[in-house]
Amino acid sequence: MKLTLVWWNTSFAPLSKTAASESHLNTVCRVLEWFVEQLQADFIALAEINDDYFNYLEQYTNINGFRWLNLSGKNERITFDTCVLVREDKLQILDTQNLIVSKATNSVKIGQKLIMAVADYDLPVHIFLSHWTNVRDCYEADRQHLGIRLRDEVDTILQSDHSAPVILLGDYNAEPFADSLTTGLSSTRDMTRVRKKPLLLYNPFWRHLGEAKSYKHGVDATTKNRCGTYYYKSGSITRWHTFDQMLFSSCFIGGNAWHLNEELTGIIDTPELFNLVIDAKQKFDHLPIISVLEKETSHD
Amino acid sequence: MINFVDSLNKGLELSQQADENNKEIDTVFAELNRQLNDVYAGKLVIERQYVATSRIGATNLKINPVVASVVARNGKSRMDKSNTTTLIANWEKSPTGYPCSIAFCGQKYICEDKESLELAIADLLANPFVAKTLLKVINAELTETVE
Repeated sequence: MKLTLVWWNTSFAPLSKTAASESHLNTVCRVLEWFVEQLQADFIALAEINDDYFNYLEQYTNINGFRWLNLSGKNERITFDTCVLVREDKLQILDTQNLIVSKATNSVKIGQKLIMAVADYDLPVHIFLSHWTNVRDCYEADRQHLGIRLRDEVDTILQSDHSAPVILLGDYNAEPFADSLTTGLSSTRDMTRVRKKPLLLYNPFWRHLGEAKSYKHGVDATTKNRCGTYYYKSGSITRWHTFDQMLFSSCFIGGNAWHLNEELTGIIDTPELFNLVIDAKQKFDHLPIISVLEKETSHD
Repeated sequence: MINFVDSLNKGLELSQQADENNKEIDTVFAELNRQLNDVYAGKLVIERQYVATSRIGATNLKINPVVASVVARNGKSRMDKSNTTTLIANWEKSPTGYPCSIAFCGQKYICEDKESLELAIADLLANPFVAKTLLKVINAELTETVE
């Protein structure tokens, strides 16, 4: 059995005064269909969603066999902006919880916990979706605190069962090497360390920090290079950042029947999506990411 | 050489801070019940009901979060004598007091200080599902109180 997970920040910017265009919404519908038809996605999580955008996507995306779950909404102090689509014959969302950290009158969202049942698998899979606030609104020191608090939530599961299936995915507005993700969330690039210390999380997106293609003399690498998931045209040192990531508990790195297929894990970088992101006339600024999990076949 | 006395002093200081935090949290719930009592005259009391064991086991009790339920009861109801309570939220508290968290209706507020805890409790009471539950607790007195 195989499970394909996709995360995409749609760049709809629901808090903006300008609504997303019909063309933008329509493009996202077509890309979602492509995720399902071509990538065989089973779980798709989207960010920068509100009720209107959710309703549009649900109505105009032509896919069958998926349950749509709107996780966006504003509570008293915080706006959540995600939704998920799950393939009904494989997955079922059992419960969701919004996670908010508050200090004095300031509140920040750290994530949304989903408890998911997977067909032919006894254990519940815990998923944490995050769309952390951007660097302008939350400096790295504060962001590290978000990482620590999200880690506390992960610990409530892993402390009692080191081999529990836990997946974190989202737009952290921070790179894999940021303190918020390393010391904060206890995530690492080192899979041997994860096997030895099963409370650590494995972050395969360390592999996707650099240039997608190596420099070669005679090949113009300066025009359409890509070295990350998020594109900011005016970036002074780099225009690309790997803000979109998926992190996995040790059970997916040889600790259980499910295995992360790293060959099929990474940034979804088709020419069409790439052109949307680098086109200054478009609002898109994130590429989607994907991971594939495979379960050993039982020979009972 | 390491100054062990300094280390002990630091530990004692942190221990004192934890005691102060825990007392501060108790005062928030005391104030909540004082205000409720002024209006509902004992018909609505909100308490934390602690469970006996930690997640991992008694040996780790001091370093694990303390888990409890937040319950409402009607102090004037006959049913109260049999410890009838209504669950309205889940509660977790670090052994050092903060952070503490209150979870209800799909939301979990992780509070780092007194002010944020007060706001989280205000959000709890302002939640329409919780408020409706609390109203039932208050009204239970009409039928169940011993005259």
